[in-house]
Amino acid sequence: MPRYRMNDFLSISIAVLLFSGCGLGSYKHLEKANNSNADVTSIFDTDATSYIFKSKLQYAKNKFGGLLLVKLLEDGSIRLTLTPQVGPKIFDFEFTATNKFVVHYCMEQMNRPIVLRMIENDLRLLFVNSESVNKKSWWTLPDKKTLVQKIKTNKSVNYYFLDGKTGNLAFLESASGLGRKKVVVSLEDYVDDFPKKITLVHQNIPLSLQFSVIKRK
Amino acid sequence: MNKLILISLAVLISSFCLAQDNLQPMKDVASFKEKLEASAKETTTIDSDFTQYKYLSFLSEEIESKGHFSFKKDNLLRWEYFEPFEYLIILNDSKLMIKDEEDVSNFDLDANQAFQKINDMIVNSVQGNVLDEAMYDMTFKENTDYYFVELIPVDEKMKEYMQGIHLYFDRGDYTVSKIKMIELSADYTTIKFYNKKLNAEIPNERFSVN
Repeated sequence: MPRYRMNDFLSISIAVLLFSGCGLGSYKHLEKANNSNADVTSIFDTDATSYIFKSKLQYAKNKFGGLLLVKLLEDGSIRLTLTPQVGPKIFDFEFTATNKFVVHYCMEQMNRPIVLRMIENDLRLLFVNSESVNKKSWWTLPDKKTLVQKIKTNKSVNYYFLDGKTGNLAFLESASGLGRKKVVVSLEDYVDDFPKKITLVHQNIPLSLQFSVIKRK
Repeated sequence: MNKLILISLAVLISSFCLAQDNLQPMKDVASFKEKLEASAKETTTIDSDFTQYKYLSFLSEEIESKGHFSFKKDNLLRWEYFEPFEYLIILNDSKLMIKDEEDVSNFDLDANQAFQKINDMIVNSVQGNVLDEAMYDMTFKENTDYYFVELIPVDEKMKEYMQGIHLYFDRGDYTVSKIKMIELSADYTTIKFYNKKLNAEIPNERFSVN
């Protein structure tokens, strides 16, 4: 698959911006498309089982950096740990093979139900191939160049925007059942079919996460 | 989260101002403490490269990072990573600065009592008061290469983050060669220091993010 090009990224960005509104009905412009064989419910490939990301988290004016370690285990579970360069780890979570979220450790300041739920949702959106998918359907943007997979889960409706030329996932948006955007994820600078940079931005709170892959093995 | 960074820095500084293989109980602990304290008092600056290894039980290999460390009495510290990415922490009196790529964050330690306490811990450590019985239970051992001190936190704050700290001191100059910080989960970080220089001239400009 050809390397992802900046121009393609810009084209899709502009198309998404032009064709999607903000708030209710953000996805009314999508047009029904034929089903595709592609499956974009996970960003992981089949070759690698461990990933190290340089991570940056920003909440309002507060910034924090560290390493996010992701390990795909043989039993189908996924282990995710965030650790600063200096000091003990911030959290150690697991999505089990049955899709259960397990907190192995979380530092006291973050160990609140509302915070854990938000982090779980973000990590699940990015890294988990959800088994709670109720319905998949295929759509396109009106420009016909961008294929969109719509997936209804128990908690949200997720839209996966695929670059028409490369098939790479360029954007991912998570919305409420009414079409109100909650989270927008962009995936950029693909090398060997994997995005070197992933940015997740919440639409309703001033929280953003950025991941740059350091190592994939 | 910055408290975590400060605590870790305090531990690292402590180890420098002080330092399991075939280790035997230390024969003369009093003499070791005396020489360690004297060495700390004589040390005005420290400059060293380091390699850090983070071990997590579910990963098959350790995560390796490399960087450089500078310290200047009384309260100037530069802790810098070069690999796998650049990340800089500066402690300059009561100011903590963190540079991550183009982002610079500043924190005033005076404005936070917890930070101030940790900062005091760093300063006390540098002054040679590292073997603080109020903070740690200590076990002293040695072999032909190292003096070894195992620290088990008794301070409630430290106990929230650390299970223990292992310090390996060079027998020649009483500087730390290796430190192992063990988390509550038993995951740990090991830092090995090399190319150490003591009392070399370090300009104050090194302790700013610019």
